[in-house]
Amino acid sequence: MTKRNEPFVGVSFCAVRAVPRGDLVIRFVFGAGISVIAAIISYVFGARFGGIFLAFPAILPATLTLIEKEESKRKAEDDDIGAILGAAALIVFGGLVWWLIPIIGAPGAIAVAVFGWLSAAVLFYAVLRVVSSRRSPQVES
Amino acid sequence: MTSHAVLVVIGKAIIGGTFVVLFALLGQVLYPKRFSGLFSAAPSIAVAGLIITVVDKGDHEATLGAIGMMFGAVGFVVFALCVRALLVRYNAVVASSLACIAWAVVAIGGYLVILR
Repeated sequence: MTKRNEPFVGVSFCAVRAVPRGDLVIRFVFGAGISVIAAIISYVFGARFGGIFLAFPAILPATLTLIEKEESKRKAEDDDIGAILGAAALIVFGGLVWWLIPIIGAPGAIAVAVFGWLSAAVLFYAVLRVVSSRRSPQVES
Repeated sequence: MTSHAVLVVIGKAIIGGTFVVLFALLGQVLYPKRFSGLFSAAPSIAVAGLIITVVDKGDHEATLGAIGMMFGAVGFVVFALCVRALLVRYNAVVASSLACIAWAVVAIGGYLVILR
């Protein structure tokens, strides 16, 4: 459901100050841990199999847990909906890296793929907003 | 593992953790939650892993990694869908833990079925 007057996107830099340092440490440890697992699996079983773990949901479990604890379950559900769209865009990212490396080389391919991920994710989000606003009436927040 | 391989793993860990924090902060300053949630599935680990792989082993290994990554990404979509369904009944820790099983089945299972 789209809430009345909810912006397409907004930025609140003040929110950075409100993030407890412990939360960032937890996220760093999650990210570093999954990177280590992916690296070791690549080393043992090869880069192609290890690549699976490059798309392991590293941030999401910690993020959902922290949102549920500090805000509400409803907000955690909303965050997860965004993650579904971001994950779909990850397929685009992987496809662009695979397709573009032989054409323009790895540095350019990775840069284009990051832009492609962001573009696809924002596009999916825009489509979801249009669809959800047509399917359900506008409600007060 | 050789000392070189250990250094590569440490490099991936530091850069991977850093990218995760940067994308998490980006998600923190953005709203509404559905939009900031996009960054919960940002390619943070992937970018870090691919950069170090390119520096260490070259473009071809990164191409192979990207193939595997697409299976992981399909698994991620299923993971997030499962979390959405499980959050109705369970808290985030339990929902995420159960959904990890779905990720492994789809990502690793799909890879083994299609590429082996």
